[in-house]
Amino acid sequence: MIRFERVSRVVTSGAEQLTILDAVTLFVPAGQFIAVTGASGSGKSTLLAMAAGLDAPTHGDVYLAQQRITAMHEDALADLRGSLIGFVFQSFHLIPSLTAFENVVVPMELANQRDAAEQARVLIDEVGLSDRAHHYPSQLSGGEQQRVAIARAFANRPAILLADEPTGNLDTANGARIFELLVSLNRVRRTTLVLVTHDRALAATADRRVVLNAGRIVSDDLPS
Amino acid sequence: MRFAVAMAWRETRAAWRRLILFFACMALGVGAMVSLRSFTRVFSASIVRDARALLGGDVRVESRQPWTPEEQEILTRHGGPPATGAARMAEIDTMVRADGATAPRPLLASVRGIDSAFPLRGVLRLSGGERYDYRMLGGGGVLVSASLLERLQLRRGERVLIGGVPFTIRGVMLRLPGNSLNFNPIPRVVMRMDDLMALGLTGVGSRVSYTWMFDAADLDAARGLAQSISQDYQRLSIPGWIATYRYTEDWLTTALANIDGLLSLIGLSIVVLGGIGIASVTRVFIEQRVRTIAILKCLGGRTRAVLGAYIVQVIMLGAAGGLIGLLVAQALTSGLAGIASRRLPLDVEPRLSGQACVEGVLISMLVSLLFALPPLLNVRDVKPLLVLRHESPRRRGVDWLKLSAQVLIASAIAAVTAWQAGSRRDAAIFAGGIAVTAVVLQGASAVLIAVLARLRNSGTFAFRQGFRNLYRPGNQTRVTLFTVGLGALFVIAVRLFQVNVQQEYSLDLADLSADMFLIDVQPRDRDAVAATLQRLGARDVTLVATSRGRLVEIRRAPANLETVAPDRLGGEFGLTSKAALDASETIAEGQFWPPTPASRPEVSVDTEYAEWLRLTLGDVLVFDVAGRRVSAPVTSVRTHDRGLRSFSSLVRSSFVFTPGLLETLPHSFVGAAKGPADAQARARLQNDFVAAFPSVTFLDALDEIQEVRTRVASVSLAVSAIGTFVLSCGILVLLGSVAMTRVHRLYEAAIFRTLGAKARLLVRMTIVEYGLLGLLAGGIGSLGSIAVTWAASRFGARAIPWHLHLWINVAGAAATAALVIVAGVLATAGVIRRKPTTVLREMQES
Repeated sequence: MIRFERVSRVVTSGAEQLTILDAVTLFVPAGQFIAVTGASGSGKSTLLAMAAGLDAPTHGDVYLAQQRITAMHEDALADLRGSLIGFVFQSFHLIPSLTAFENVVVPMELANQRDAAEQARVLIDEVGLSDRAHHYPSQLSGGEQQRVAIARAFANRPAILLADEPTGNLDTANGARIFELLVSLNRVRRTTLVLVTHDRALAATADRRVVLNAGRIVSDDLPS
Repeated sequence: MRFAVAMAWRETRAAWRRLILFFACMALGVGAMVSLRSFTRVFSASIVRDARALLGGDVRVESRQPWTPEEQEILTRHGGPPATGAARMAEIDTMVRADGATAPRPLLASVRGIDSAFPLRGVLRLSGGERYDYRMLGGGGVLVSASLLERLQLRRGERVLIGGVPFTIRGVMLRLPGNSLNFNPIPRVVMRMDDLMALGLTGVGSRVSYTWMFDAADLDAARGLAQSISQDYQRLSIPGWIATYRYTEDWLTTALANIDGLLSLIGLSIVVLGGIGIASVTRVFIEQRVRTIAILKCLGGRTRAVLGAYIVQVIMLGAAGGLIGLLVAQALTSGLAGIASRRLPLDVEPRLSGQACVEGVLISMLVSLLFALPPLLNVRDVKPLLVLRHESPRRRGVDWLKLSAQVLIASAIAAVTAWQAGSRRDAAIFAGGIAVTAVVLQGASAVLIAVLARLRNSGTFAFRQGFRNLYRPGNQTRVTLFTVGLGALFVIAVRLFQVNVQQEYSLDLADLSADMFLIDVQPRDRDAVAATLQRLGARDVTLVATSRGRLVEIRRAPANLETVAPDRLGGEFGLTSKAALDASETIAEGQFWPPTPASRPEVSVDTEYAEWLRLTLGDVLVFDVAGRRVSAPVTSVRTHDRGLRSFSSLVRSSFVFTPGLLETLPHSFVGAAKGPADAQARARLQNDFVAAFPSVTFLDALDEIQEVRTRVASVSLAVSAIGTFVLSCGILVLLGSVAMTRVHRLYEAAIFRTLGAKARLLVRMTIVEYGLLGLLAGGIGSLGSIAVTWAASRFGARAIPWHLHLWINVAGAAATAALVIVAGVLATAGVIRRKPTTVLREMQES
């Protein structure tokens, strides 16, 4: 489903060159739940950005559903994201000017889905926010905002779900509930889940755990 | 499209408070444009509706001579079918004074004698809802304008003296039909026709107009009637002016159409300034929406889809701004229509023109889109990666799309200008003028900013920080300077112009060699008039003979082979004879006669008529003066300096004869004298003189000066109103620029407060920043106003002496600075009041 072939990302900071990812090779098959862990600055988020076509590698290639996305045009990447990928971010990244319902319906409207409103209502219901559907993000708690983000992530029935520290901004109890919701929806919908986290306990629930350090994969606990 | 419309609506719903500036920019521009355009159209419609009342009937026949028996016969005959009615009136400008020992100065008024059939069309409207009845004029009754009562300090029921005869004021007129094209606000008096004729004011040389008006069933009947009278007049060589109401209608609507384009361009220029404001607001808005745009791109939004949503939003906002502008326009039009209805003999309805409204809203949408397009294109540069990592948008090299958008703006503005002006040439001049002004003001701003940049490290902490804020990233210093500077230029220039004109008219009463003028002095009164004036305290009394004559023949000198069309002959002209040139006259060709000329008659011709009639020295002109022929060779050609007000400008004649010649023909005298400076002595002189010579028209230079002042004040008010609109646009741009840098300001204020700065210090920094900005804008406006008023007084149609009034420039710049400080501090107050910890936490979270 997702394939990295000797992917490197080098950025220039002043006169210095900084290697964020260093010749990473990784294959994530369809339906797998993979957790990526590592210290801050180890390259986890960059790996996620590469997988979504948000960032381009300096060297190497990234493939998504057998398509080489490395040199794809921005609009083609947007189409790919719209049809193939769902996101859940640590800071939720809901659009503040839209209600919870509208945040969920937007990806489907972008994809010109006919029953967008109906599907959005189903998703909002699934995450338990039917009575909060017409509230703005600023009127929701952190946990509620993340539920909206999860509903939005599943909006276009994506084949891949990318989650960047989804419980990072939540307290332990809320975090646990959100993670449970994420994993259960993922199981029902059989998506490939890439979870970037610091939390070892969460990572332990994954099918596979990859550890990054200084841009390199130092451990890949492949399932037997 | 569904996404674009839905997203545009949601964004507007969430951010409408922040977009108020956007609405305001467009509402102001569209309000100005639609009201100016509507006013000319509604005014034209009122003229078409009231044309018959303006003319006083459907056909009007006017003459400067008393009706001859032949004329009477023709006009009486035409009073029957197809005419459905006829009325007569005669009108003369003469002196009216209050009946009393301590009366104020007599007043020049237009006195109209009417018969019982007047008015054929329209309504003679009286104050207090009173209905006009011809019987009110019986037994020496008159109706007068409200302005006459006010200036002569009289009330209804009191008496006025006209031609030495007392009349009782029976009513106050609000509207008098039949003024034709004469919108002069001179006070008016209406009396019975036979009363006017009995006053003895209608002798030779008096300026009476005799009018006969007819009613007809429709325009065709009116045209047939006018044609029939015209044929009879031509057959008997009777001079006269014959017109149907359509003539008045056409003349006025054409005059309005000429200014319609100009007013539209003024309105459009305010819309364009509003467009600059919109560009600022949109830039801020897109900057605030960067994260939303990144999220949308992350969720699969193509650049085109996201950009489309914001374009739809801008068009929606433009339409909404335009609609709010229509409310502004309605308010402005009500004000304008009220002023016009009070000052003109027309009821101007305060309604908006449907076409102007549609055009206004369309232009609002177009200008909004055009000016918002360059900042909207920044949507392309927002990377979806922003949701994961803070990263500055990559700068493009040459952005061809943005350049194309700018070319599109320029072309579209030029096209809209041509459309609104109705002339490509006018549009080019206007667009060129705006471009030159923009370049000059932008250049001046750039130079000033560059020069002042050297000071940014000097002075107190508050001064240095305030100064540096003018150079902060994303600053709109130059755009703000341009728009506020332009507004200041308008307002200061108008004030300078006004003061210069007022100064001229306050100074030269003392400088004038003559400040009292007499018309219609009959030959028998000549010596008595001169003696009375001197006895009453006037000095330097001059009286010259004047008459009217028809040019019937030009006997050209052998060397002059020129000819002119026959219709250039036969016209009636004012003729004078005098011994010396006036101060405003110079000889362009030939020689003016010596103080004691030879007995052979000579004539000196005005340059304009010499050219129009293709005259050369030696040509002999033959005039018919009241049936007697007089001929004289042209011995000189004179030019007249219109910039110099003098005796000759008031009693100007194109054909001047050697002294003594006109005295042998039917004639009257015009005179000039220097009156006392003291107001009471002046009033006494005039009252005594008019009592002694009631048929003589007495003009006081003070009245002319007052009239010019009133006109200047009216024009100044109109231009000041436009300047205020421009200045308001500038302030909106300023507020937009404050909003644009709000995030930076919030952050800086929070940091400064964390580091120990008190709110007072932050306010001082803000005052320095906006004070400098305002002073720079005021300085640019002041310098511009000096240049503009100097050029206008030097090269304008009416040259007036130009003086530098530094206090106006200094006060103008200070007032601009104060306005900008108030606007800037109020807009920034929210930033200063916020708690630093709250701000920093919010920024951390975002």
